[in-house]
Amino acid sequence: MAKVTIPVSEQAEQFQISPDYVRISMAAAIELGLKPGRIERASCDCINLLQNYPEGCYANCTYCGLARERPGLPEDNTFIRVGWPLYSTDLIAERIAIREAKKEVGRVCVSQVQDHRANEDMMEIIRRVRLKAPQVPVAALVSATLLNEAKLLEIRAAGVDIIGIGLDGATEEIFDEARGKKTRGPHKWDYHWEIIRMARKLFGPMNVNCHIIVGLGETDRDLFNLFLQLRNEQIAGYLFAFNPEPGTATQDLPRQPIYRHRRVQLIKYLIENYELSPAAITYDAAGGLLKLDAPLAMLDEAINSGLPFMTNGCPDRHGVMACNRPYGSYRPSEEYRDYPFVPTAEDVRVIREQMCLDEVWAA
Amino acid sequence: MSNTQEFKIGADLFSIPADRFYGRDNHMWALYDHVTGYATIGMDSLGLASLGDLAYVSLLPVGTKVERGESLGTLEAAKMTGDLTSPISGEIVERNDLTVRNPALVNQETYTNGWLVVIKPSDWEHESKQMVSVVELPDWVDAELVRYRQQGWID
Ligand code: SF4
Ligand code: SF4
Repeated sequence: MAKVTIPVSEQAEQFQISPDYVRISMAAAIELGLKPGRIERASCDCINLLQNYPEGCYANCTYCGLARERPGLPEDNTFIRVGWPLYSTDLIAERIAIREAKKEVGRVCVSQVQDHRANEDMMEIIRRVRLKAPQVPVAALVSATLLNEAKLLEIRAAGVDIIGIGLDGATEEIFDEARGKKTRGPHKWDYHWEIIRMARKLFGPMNVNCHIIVGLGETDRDLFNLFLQLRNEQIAGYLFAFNPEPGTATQDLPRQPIYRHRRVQLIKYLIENYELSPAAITYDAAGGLLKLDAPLAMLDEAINSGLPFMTNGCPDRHGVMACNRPYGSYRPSEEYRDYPFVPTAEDVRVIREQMCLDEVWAA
Repeated sequence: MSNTQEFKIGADLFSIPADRFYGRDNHMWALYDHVTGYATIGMDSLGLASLGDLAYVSLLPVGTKVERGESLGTLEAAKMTGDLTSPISGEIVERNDLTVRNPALVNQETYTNGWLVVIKPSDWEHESKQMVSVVELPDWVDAELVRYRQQGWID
């Protein structure tokens, strides 16, 4: 596959590398006043930072705009480049501190890419943030492939209280196809789980989370089994809606229908908050959800709260969800996939329509 | 009187030229051509500063009749959407498809190549009086900066 060429306008960014420079999500850049703009119906309470290296990332995940061998567009107009502006780490740390002085910043999250400098540089980025804003909670979204127990301990000693791990694929097969050996990438399913469990041991219950992408070809059964397993191990599972990124190998893969996403969100919530039993779910031959056997009162309570349909993300220092990634996996003109705020009664009405729950609910 | 009203948001300097009229609330500008009798319409830099970089612009087709205050298209910035509100009534006689193909032009060349449509006004005499003109410009910009800051739309 051809390597992507970088347009002239972006060539300077090739030399502005981590740890001195770091990318920031557009929502966080707006929130810190680094970029002009407004966020519809939401604020951004988590400052998501991402390491920047000339090669992007040495891994090769099929859906990612940073992948080493992504096919690319003529102008390399990928979301990650458009949507994640680059600033000096010290400037961002200063802005976080200024913001903290006015109003608490919910959380800062430092994301690694697969690069030989990533561990050392992540520690330095965290150090610089904490130097200016010592109280702000910091999460590390790590590449499991780069880590071992000693490195996890170092991260913990640097003041990080939550570890996020991009598992992304819900099963070993999906993982291998999207991130692992079939992509000629370095990631391994078993090693990811080794690190997830090691982190769980070191950071404590619910202080480790797996990112899970919904829509990479997994079945409903795959997802619900994973949610049950995570619940049993007290590891958080955070959903991301697959959104094909132009210029990647999966750019033509369609998004899942909205009804499926809503049902997945609901059942995940029931598993986590109502201890829904696996026996309550039946599947068709292809592993798709056939029937959900749950009391109406339970469903009504869960759905009417709107909470199942909110973005899943790390909490702030008071336990309130901070990482809401507004419009992160859909455009602001599109229907919400995950709500970066508590859905209103009107939103819940729309959600109910989208979910078509009667088709699968066994009264 | 200066030709341009300048203001700062954070470290960034913005300008509002005094050669045209501005919608009081919607931050759309109208530049009237006395020879053709047509008005070119765009969005001003305070409106744009509160929206951020535009990602998508759509415009109604040539020939569409719009009333003042109605939508002449839509915009989408990174994290929000909105209508492009017409500051005057009339018929769209030209639209700038370059901004549809490259919405960044609206942010980058706000008062020149970033125009959106040309309208043949149906009541310029009357409607232009309801817009902000050169005399009111400094006070209006100051008041709008206060309003936008109170709303939390700019820093
Ligand atoms: S490891 Fe992460 S950043 Fe690198 S290609 Fe995979 S998903 Fe993208
Ligand atoms: S949920 Fe948000 S803050 Fe938590 S690890 Fe993932 S990206 Fe980081």
